[in-house]
Amino acid sequence: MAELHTKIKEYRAKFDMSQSELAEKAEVRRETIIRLEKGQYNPSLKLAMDIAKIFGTTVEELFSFE
Amino acid sequence: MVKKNYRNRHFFIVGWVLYMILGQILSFIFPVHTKLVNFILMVLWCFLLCRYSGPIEKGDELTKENINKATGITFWIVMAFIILSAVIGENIENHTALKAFASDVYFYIFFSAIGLRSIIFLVLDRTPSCESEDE
Repeated sequence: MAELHTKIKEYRAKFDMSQSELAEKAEVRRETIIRLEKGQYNPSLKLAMDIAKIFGTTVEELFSFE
Repeated sequence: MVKKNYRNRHFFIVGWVLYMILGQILSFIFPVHTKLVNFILMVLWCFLLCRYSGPIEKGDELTKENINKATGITFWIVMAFIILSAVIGENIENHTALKAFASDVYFYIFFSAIGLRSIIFLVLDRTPSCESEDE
């Protein structure tokens, strides 16, 4: 089964953003960001697009199934 | 004002359920010392209010997913318990003993189900502190 891989952690480092700051901007809890970074949670399309928008990138760039 | 973690809401519910169930059990065990029992429970209630009440952050989609899972698991556990209780109740020789505390059973099942749902949610939603980078 394909696993979810995200580049959220890399982008956070690039933008010098903490998990809490990203969570606040995406209007989710910090636990959700932690799960997303670990690939333990498949986000909804809306959340994926919101996070991609925060980093100024695309959903395809941020999330991939391998 | 800094909002508290959403998990606090469910810690509060678990505490409230314990408060209700313990209140029943302790007043049943110590009918003479009801004032002392009530005092202990009031201290517990004050602790709960101070520790877990206040503005709490809103839930998100992960919260909804976990609470739905917790509700489903709780439903099947309660159903299994009710069916098991019914089977035992049918087979037990002394039927009157079961009938004597039948109303209490409903009380305990109701509050246990609420508490169990919150406990399962907290287990599903737990995040090891080592995975967090902010703390």
